Amino acid sequence: MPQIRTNAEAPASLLETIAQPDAQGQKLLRDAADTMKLTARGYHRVLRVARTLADLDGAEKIGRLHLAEALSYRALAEDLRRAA
Amino acid sequence: MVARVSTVAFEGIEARAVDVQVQVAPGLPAFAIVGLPDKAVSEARERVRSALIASGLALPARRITVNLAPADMPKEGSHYDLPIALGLMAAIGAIPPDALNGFTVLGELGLDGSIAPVAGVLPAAIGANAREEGLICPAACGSEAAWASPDIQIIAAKSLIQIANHFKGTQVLSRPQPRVHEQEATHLDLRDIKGQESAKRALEIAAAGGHHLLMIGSPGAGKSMLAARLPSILPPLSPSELLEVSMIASVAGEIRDGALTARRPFRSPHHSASMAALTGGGLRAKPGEISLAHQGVLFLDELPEFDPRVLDSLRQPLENGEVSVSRANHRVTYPARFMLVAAMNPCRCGQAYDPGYSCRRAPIERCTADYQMRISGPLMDRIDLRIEVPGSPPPT
Repeated sequence: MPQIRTNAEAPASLLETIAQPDAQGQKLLRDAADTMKLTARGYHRVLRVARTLADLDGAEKIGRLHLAEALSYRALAEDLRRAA
Repeated sequence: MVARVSTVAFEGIEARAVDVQVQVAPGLPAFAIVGLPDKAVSEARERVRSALIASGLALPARRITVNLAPADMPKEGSHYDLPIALGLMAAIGAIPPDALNGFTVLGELGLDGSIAPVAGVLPAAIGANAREEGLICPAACGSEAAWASPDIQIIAAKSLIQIANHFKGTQVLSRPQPRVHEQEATHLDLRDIKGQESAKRALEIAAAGGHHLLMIGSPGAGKSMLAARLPSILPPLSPSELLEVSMIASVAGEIRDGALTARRPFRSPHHSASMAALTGGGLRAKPGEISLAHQGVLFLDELPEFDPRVLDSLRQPLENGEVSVSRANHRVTYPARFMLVAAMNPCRCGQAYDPGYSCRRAPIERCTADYQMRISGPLMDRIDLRIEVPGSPPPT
């Protein structure tokens, strides 16, 4: 794709092709989206990070492990905000 | 008879064509510049007058009027000196009247007739090339202009006399060559950091995908050290990225000696930075830190100490990769696609995450939450990677 050099720049429409999680991954994502109250923007952002993690592993599809790691990175500041 | 010279005005990082019209007419001696010039442009009168005298020409004792068209666009910057002077020289016959046809001119004049470097020569050269014109610019900026295209004609002169001689044919100037600064060997390498494997992993992920990163840790844990070493694992700039980065640096006046820098930008503004300094705009509409960090890294240390309004102005650029600055007459858009790396302490005293620590002010969760709430929710939502950087004891 022209003009898109990093995963972070990938538009949401492109994510549907390149960052489609497998069935287990979908389930994990759905559960997490409910618990963490992920917004639509948050959901796409998690997919982008998961895509980078899959790329670093050399994997073609995003797996449950990649999604789990991506979600864990988002978790840190969330709990504290909810505790306030 | 009206002499006309092309020059440019900068809107964002683009150079818009401006027409400088010089008329010498009978009447009481006067020298007026019209077309909404700002203070620096109006002062061009004095510089042009002195420069011409220093070059052996006298200002004619007639009514001189200079119009900068389009007349309703405010003109800013000191680069109008040279086009006005050359237009005047063409009007009084010191250079052939059609010599300046097909050239875009910009440069600042010194009182001795020398031509001083100005900002924005690269976008001006690119604009001139698009209009199939050549460029006349200060000698110090010549190599910068040469990057615009291998075929564009560039006259990079040190003084008015050199330009006059070039057109007469007695001292023809050669085309400057494009130059790049050699990569200085940076001594900052991610290998220097001992331990902190999870932080290094997060830096790798951020660098690989361009994701934004927040490091939370106690003072002295090594957050600033980690951030400073991020550029050592970033990929080099591609040619089109280099051009974008250089155009922004050129408009901001950051190109030294006309040579471009091939390294990714790494900007770390102090937390007292104003909105205009960070996002751009301000009195003279220059790109801000976020645009100077385009295709590179913006490191905000002590994130909660930044003015909250300034931080919130980052939300749009973090999402879209560009920032729109509204000024009185028009909106200017600067590119701002950067990787944000932020660092902060977990709470006011900084030790909330240390194991076994108990805070005297309030329960730890409350104290931490209060401090971290300074970062607004939507801003935090745009940061994908948030890691804790634990402090480690000094090596014994």
